[in-house]
Amino acid sequence: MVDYIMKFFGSLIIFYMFIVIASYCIMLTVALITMRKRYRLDPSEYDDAHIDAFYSKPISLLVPAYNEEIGVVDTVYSLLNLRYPQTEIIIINDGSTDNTLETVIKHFKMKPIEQIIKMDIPTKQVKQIYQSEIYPNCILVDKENGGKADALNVGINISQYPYFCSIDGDSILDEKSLLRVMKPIILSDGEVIAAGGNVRIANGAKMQRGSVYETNLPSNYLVVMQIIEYFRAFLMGRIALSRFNLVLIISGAFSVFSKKWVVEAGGYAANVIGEDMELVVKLHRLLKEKGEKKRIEFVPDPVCWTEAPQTLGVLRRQRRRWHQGLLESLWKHKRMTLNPKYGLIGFISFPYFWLIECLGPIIELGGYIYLIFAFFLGNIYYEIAITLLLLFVIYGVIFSIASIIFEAWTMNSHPSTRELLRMTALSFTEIFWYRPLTLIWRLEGIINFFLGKSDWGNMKRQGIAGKEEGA
Amino acid sequence: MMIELKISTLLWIIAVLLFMLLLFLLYIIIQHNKEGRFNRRRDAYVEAYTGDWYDFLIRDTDLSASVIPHNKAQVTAVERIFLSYLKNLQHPEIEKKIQDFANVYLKDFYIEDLKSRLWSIRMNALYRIADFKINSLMDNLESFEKRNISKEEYFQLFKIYSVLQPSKFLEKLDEVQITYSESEYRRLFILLSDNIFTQVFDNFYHYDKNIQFAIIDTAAVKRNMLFISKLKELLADDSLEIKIRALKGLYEIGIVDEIETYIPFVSSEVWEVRLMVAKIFRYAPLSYTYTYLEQLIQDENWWVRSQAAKTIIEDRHGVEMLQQFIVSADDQFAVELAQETIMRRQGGK
Amino acid sequence: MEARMISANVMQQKEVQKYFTVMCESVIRSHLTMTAIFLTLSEGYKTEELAKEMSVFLQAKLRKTDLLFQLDNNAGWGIIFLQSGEVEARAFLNRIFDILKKEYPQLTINASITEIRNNNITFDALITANEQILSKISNEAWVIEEITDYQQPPTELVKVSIIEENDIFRHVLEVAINQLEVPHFSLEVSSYEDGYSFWQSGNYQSAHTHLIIVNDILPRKNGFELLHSLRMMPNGNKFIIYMMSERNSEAVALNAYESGVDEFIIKPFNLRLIEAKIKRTFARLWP
Repeated sequence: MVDYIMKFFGSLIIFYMFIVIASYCIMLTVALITMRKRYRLDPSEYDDAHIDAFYSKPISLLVPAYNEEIGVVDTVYSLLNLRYPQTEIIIINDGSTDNTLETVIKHFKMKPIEQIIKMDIPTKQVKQIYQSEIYPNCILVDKENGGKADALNVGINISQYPYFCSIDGDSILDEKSLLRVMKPIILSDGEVIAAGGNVRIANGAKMQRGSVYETNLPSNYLVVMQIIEYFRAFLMGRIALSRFNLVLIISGAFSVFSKKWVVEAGGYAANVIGEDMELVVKLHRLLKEKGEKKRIEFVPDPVCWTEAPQTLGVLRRQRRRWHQGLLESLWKHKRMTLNPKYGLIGFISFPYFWLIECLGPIIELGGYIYLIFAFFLGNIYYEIAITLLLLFVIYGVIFSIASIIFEAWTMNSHPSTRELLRMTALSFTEIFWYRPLTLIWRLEGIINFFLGKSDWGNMKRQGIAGKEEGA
Repeated sequence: MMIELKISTLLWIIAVLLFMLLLFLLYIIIQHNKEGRFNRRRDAYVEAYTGDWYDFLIRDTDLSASVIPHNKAQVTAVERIFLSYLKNLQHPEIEKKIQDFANVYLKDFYIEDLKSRLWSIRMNALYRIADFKINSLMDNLESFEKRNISKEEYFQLFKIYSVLQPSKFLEKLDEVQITYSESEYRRLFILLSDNIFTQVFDNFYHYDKNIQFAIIDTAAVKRNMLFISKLKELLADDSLEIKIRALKGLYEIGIVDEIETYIPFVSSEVWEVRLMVAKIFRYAPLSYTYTYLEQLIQDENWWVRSQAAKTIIEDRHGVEMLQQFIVSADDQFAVELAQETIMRRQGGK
Repeated sequence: MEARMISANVMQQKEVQKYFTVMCESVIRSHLTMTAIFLTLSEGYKTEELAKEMSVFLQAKLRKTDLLFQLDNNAGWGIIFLQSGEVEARAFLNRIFDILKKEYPQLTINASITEIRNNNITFDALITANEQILSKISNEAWVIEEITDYQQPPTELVKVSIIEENDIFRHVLEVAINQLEVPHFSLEVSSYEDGYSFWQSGNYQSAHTHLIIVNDILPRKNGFELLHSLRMMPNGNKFIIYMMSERNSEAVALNAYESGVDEFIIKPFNLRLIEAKIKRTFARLWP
């Protein structure tokens, strides 16, 4: 009996691993073909032409801030330094309990103004709107606490431009990132209604006044592991999915949306954990239901720098929350799964996210448990166990190293040889500590979802600029 | 079945994969070093010859033979220098000098690049040919065009023709098979001289929608009086989209010589049309437009109402007029809007 | 009665001496030309009565910023026009000469004009120089002489800071401005790659007139922020700020002017244009 169960589970897990590895291989190949084409292309050509207001569309930049007194000023500086012809910056203070409001008012010389707000999306009460004396296009909205989604909705209501970009209050944008993330939108004449940029981890980067001027690999292994993880997610997920308009997640830390469509979809959903994914799924749904041929894209190079958790505790909360959010969105729209009405989204994206992203942790964790069991039960299961272990190696180590290498090849970021080797070496350890840990955390997220627990997982900010704030 | 998979086979696969990755890693490290050397050579050139180039381009001195680039790194350096000048300064003489130099000393490098298997290398070459206006390559481009080239490359060719050979550009525009987006056409049209652009405008109805829209938008930006009457003609078009865009274009030009043309649109059934009219009336005296704006401020659409209020208040007597309106009107929404608009005007700047 | 009271208010030569140095220094500091006029009546008509009448007459023709004083020994009058040049002084003289010729046909008056744009002059030297020139023409009538020795302003050191990210273009600007010949000014050009390094340099902390040519977008402290910080400084008016931008957008240009730039220049631009603008800006410093 035990023998039968062990054999069954062993084959099941191995079978699952094959599917996962196969789908990652496909995505990696697609990503590589896409990236290879762009290899060495001079991007400045496009940038230079589109700095002219005639070609580009004005954008409202929304910065929701809840207790971000440390990071928000740098974020706004990075937005002020964007190479983009016309933007307005709307900082939304979501009833912070720290000095976010005062910091922003003081730093940018904000003065109260009167403004009529068009309530496209119902939101919590706005207390006061301020305008900067230094930068007339910089606005601060003080509102009652209502969560990030509500803050973003307020921003959408106040924004005056046809596109908006949401940026987390602790992130920093590269000066050309907005121009490039808008590229598919502009070039497609609005057929692309949302575009997300690539998010990188800023720990270890030196910055000042909102611009990154030196990137170093941080010494914290946990952070380096996350950097590798971001490379992987980027190379083996988003590029390939984007190519076929199958993206369900574009990072909430940095993405551009067409206001018209978002308003039509009802804005960001309050009371959900992953409001960014929720919105993208809702948009896809709306598009398919209306039979529109619009797209949502992921743009490989525009870079947004964000701070990664540095301690296990914070990382745990973050991952738990992400996974709960993922499950929540999938569950909410579960009827789209394998529903012919939703085309490839229903037949590829949803199964992919259900099977590999969402339920994966359970099966993978099962694999780890299986390994331990097999070890205690003796000889007969060694074969299955070792097979499994080797598949884990391919899945964990090989793909990670491949991501690091291709990242170094395609993106013109030049990690030094030492850093490259350090990351590669660290990849070998992934399956022994980082992977199991994240699996457990994700499992906790699934459990939390079923318990209906909400965990806002506020991250403790170190301040993205660290101690570099010299001026 | 899967279970049958031999562990040794898997081990082999892993070993092979790891080995391949190791090779890749080595390749990348070597590549990085090569790139480092390349960049150093490029920077050395820039460092050494920035002064010479300044003297040649700005002060009209003769150019010494030593600045002629002999390898790719030096070409890249020259490109950097040229682009810095072209992007920041606008001197026809400098453009001419750069063109002449590129025609003689850079041409061969670009001919090579155009033959490259890599799409990105070919694209970069096309960018530079357009930037430096290398007109000695027309024949090469002709044969390049016959190859199986991508949409993007074809677009670059368009750009090059529009700058260097407008007649050919017009010809190609007529027979183009690929559809480009409006914004791409705009990028092309904005570079055209008024004369050539007028020829494109004259052929308005020969082109498909994307080109037509781009023509309207470009005409608005060129702010040439000549295009006002042409845009007005388009107001009679059957297509709603063209009508709205033409109105938008007229608004952007910002010159209203008479309002009769626009009056029928005040009672259009489409709110976007009414909105554009409310905007356009900003450029006409309020005494002529007030009757219509009063109608628009009571419009059912929020955007139209608020634009009408904004347009009224822009005028010198706007506040007065709105105050009168508040007293006399019975549309509660419109009254509130008028009050808010006045408040905002007085509260703001 | 009234006439007497006003004439009693006319300053004497030695009283003016005290203020003269202050006035000269202010000429330099605020770049405002000052002009001195000396008037003498021809000999034989120097009666007390006439002198008083003339004082009243002159006082009535002057503006509040002009200073009238009587020369020692009743030799004549001096007038110091603050904030006026030789052209205005000559116009003033022609005007009063026309009136005086009509009303006092028996009189003959001569005058001398000294335009002052530097501080290398003492009051005594001014008096002596004018006495000499006036005595030379003492037997002519209604003549206006001119002393040009003090017309040249001293060469002033002006700082120029170029803040531009592109190293090649920064070099172009630096060389071009270094080669620029601006009368009466010597330029000390320095350049920076971003706002932060400019700010760190502390170069803005001197009292010199300071021309700043800055790009609107810069890494680390962008042009707008710099603009605001500079204009907020107690003597923020010493900065002449040109902002360059590649963003061809009316909104940005409006922002820039509202925030206090002196020139907003859209790239690409003509180097001659910016050179001409700089020359004109400096020419305006000495009206």
